[in-house]
Amino acid sequence: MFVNNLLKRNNYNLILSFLSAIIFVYIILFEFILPINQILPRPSILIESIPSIFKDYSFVNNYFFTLSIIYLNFIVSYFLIKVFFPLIFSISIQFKKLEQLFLFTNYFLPIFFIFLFNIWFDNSIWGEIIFIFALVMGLLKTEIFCYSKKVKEEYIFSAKSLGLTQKELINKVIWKSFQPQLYKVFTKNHFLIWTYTLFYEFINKSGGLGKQFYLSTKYDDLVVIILLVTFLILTLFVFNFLMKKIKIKFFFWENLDE
Amino acid sequence: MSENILKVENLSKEYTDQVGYIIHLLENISFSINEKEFVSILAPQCSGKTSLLKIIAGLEKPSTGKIFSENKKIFFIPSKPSSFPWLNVFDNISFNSKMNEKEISEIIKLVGLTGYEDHFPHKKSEGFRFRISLGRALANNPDLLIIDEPFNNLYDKTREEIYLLLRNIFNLKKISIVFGTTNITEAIFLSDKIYLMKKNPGEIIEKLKVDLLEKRELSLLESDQFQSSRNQIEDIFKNKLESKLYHFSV
Repeated sequence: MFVNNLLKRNNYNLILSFLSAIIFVYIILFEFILPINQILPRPSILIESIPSIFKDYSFVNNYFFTLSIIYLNFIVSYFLIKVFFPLIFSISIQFKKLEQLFLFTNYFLPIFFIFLFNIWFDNSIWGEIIFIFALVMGLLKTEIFCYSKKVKEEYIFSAKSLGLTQKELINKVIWKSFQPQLYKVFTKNHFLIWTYTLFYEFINKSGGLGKQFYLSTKYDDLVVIILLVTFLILTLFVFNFLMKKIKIKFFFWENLDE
Repeated sequence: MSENILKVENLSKEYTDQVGYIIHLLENISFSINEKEFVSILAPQCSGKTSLLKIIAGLEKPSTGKIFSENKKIFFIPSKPSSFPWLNVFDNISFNSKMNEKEISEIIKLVGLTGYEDHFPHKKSEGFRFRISLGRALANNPDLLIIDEPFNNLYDKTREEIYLLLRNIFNLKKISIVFGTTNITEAIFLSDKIYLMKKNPGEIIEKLKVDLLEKRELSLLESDQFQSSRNQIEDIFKNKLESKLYHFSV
């Protein structure tokens, strides 16, 4: 109970303290106590190798490639789902039972589609863009199906009393009710989408951080793997933080019946 | 003699439950509401009161019966807070309204929310959110306002404040109000006329006129006249029904 409360209250401070402790132990252990080992590289070597991942592995290009594929897809899919919301919502009301099928396809089938897209699109970046886009759209659409009957009826009654048409009701009330829930799809599946993206790039080998992981494993370059993982953790940490700030600023209300 | 703003004739509502039984929720309900009249429908819980109010508001369809309202503008305030949490107080009240900014500000003042125009309703009290719902209804100039048990989760003090607010707004605006409640005190305090309803099935069993002054004050709750009205209603329920009404302290 105490730990839970502490986690809720000081989440970021706790994570930072935990990471600092790990880094401290790592420096002491692998720089001074076990400088020669087969487990992890010395911290000083890691720091010396940072320029090489920028030079030899063109880290900046690959990093921004993966970053833009993920976050531009988030933005594009959000605006597209807004455009198609009335249609998807109407279908979800009529074919509610499809929800179970979508839950299955969203979390299980993407793994197979990674292989299929690699064959269909070969080394084209469009394959990856379409794959991530389809994945995000699929997750958003499933959320609409899962929550379509959970819009608070008091909002609907009020809106109908105010004389809103069906179209206005969907656009001005139901869509707004859904916004925080749809945004939650991004925060809830943030790690999952990163994992699928890296996995796709790892297999496809055409670009991105996944390709760098592939090359570093191919050359048994432990130093680069550690650096990539560090950058990745930092990126996820920063974007998670930013996404929480966006939620507080733009999607602060919770109004679907749980 | 005021004109009827709404007339309900032989209204019934039945539905089939999950097991397949036909449930008679409302049976043979007939009543009328005059212009500029505050009417309460006082009934036990689960008597079909909310369904009746929704039917009057045109949000549900009756199984049989007719409702005559001659294109009157009817606004329904549900029992749960219905203010939109993504809009601030001003935008909530002006939502879909044809009133100008000045008129909206007057409504905001009327419901006691001046100074809170930029505040968002989420995480605010139910009393605060009821004021928004009421303001939004008034900003749409309704002919008939239907309010369904809005005070269930309010503290005594807030509830009394809202009683006064609602009655004052009624006196000032002179719109017709139908108020659904399980609470005898608020039914007497707020209304000009009370329809008593029983449950299983929901039926109107008595119509009472409340002979209190138009302007109501909280001291009225302690008066003999109020107590006798209260006793009268309790006697009707005791004599005609076995079901219990819950009520709050006066």
